[in-house]
Amino acid sequence: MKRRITKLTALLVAAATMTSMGAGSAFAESTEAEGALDLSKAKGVTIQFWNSFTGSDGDVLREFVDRFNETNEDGITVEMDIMPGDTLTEKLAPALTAGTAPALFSIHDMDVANYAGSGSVESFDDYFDVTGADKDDFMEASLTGLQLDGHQWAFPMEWYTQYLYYNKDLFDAAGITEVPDTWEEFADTAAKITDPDKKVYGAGLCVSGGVPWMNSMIISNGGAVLSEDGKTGTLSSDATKQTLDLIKKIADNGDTPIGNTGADLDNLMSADQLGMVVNGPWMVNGLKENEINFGVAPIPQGTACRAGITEITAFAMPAGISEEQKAAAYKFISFWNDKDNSKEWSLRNGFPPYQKSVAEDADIQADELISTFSKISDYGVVFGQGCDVTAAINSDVLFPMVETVIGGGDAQKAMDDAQAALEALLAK
Amino acid sequence: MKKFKDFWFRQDKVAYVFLMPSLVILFVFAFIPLISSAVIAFMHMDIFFSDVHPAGLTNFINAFKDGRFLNAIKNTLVFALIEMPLQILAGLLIANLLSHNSFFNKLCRSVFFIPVVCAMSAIGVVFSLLLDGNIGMVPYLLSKFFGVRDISFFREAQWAMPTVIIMTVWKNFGYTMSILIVGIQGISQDYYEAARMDGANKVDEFFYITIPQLMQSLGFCIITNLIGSLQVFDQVYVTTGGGPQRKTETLVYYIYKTGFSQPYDLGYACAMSVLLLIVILILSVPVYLRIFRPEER
Repeated sequence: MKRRITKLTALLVAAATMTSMGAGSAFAESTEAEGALDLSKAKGVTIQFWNSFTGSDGDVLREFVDRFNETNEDGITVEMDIMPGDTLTEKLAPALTAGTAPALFSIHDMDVANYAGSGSVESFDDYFDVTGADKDDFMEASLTGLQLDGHQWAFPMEWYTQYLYYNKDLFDAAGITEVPDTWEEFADTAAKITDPDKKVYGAGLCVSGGVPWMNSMIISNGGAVLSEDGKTGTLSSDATKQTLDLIKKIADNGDTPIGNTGADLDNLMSADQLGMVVNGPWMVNGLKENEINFGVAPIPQGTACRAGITEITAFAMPAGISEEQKAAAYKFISFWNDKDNSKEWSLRNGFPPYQKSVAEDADIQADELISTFSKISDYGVVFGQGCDVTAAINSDVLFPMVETVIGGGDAQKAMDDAQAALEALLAK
Repeated sequence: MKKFKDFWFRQDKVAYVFLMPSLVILFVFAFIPLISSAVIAFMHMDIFFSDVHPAGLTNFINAFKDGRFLNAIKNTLVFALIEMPLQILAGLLIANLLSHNSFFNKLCRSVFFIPVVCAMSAIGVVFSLLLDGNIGMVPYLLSKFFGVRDISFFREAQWAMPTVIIMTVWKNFGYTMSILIVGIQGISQDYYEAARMDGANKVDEFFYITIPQLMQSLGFCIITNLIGSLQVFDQVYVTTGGGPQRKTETLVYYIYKTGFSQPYDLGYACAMSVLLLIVILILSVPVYLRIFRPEER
């Protein structure tokens, strides 16, 4: 009896494990679509759309989705589920494996290698042929940043790089007239603004949950986190040491709050308690709502160049999606990329356009903020394309490294530890 | 069918029928995942199930070479070995004070039990706001009345773990208190009367009657609390995210991050889960055997 139970248990476990593996390989095979997609199949289809637009841009996105649902002539319904970025990442991977992912979801360019490499997402290779959209109207980098092995695995939704936000009132109070153009000037300016009695900090350097500002800083000082082929860690360098020394100088002076997340710094900036912070375009609406007298400038340059990591938020579809759902998703993406809608998204949220026709629009060019945000083409740098641990490099290597330095740790040791962590991560 | 009925509805078998719903749930949600993760621990497998192949002991060997895993083990042990005694101590002292059924005592018990029924995530958010270095009330009051510099309790390396521990004790001690109150109320008053006649004071009664008589209840609290502490996750996830400088990154949190975000390494995450199970067994089995010795059963 005992032997029979043991056999039965082993069989069940093996069956459970092998069934799951089988599901995975089935997805991988289903990415090979056959025949041209018929968009008329989208009629009356309801699709789910997961994304992480939790900020004020999420309200605008809701309006767009509602408008699409009301106006599209095919009776397509998009049901949207907005969740925090971490939740989306952690929920999406098992959902893709289990075959329960929605027809449409947002990912970042740094996720493409994971999802595409594992055969979890459907390609957009036929998008332009099926929808008739003009491929030449899209800025090349917005598409190539979402490609792997020559296939289009995701489709641009918005893109951005990093910018320097500064509080004009705090600049005036400190008698500063020039916006810092180099990282050295950034540190000096921060020291002048900081006022401990008023709990005002000159600079905000986040240690998690924000844009990877330190990566931009390292590149601008002539360094690099990864080798050109993305397979070797090159963090340990004079440029990184120089970067960390400057960060340590700012932190040791008490010119940045310790251990703050990106969201914490947003709050400080919105409360007139922060002089400068590096962030993306989404910060604009919050500052406007809080009536902060602010300005936006290009990210400071280092000793070698000016560089800001470019990130692309993109639409993606699960591998094996039905033709009906894919057709409905394409219809919604076409609506999103309609010139008027793209222009409205840029003007209301401040994101730089990725379509040339939108970028050339008179209203867009007349907008001072979007004009600054459009400098993405001047200094935007794509990081870790094709590397399947890019997000982990940010969260598990770069942010902990600066967190240690800002918390009072030794810069050299922090760099050495980070290099070791990077190598371990790449070895996986 | 008749044979089936005759067999399962016999008086000595009917208990299994009543147990069946629980057994099925345990089998599906505990036994299968347990065995599956033990199998996956010996494989190279990511969450997308792409390129699955056997790994032998590689995942286990890698764990012992991984500084982050060893750090997570250390943090987990620090948390468990401080949080568990504190919670037991707080629960025991307050249970002793509130064991009589007066209105005031009942009110206090209810108040102390409220955090137990609240979600840890909700409590984590509340504590994060109260203790926030920029906008929190506690750092503000400490600064205003005691001249203490603004402390960011969850963001400073030396404060983060103690703060997570205190928050967990605050949330959970009501549970321990409730169990121990029932235990204290079950102790015969004859012991106390006899002790008082022999000249024992309250402290003597506590140490020589209450605690020895409570050993079964205390043992249950220690074992369940220890196992729970070694699996600490939600408070870390909500408040510190494992930071600052990985000072609060516990093993379950690291397992979760390894499996469910990049690098999505399910095999390695499962290997660490198996190692966690071994750690739990190493710590809890001796405690179990010590407390529930045959003569005390």
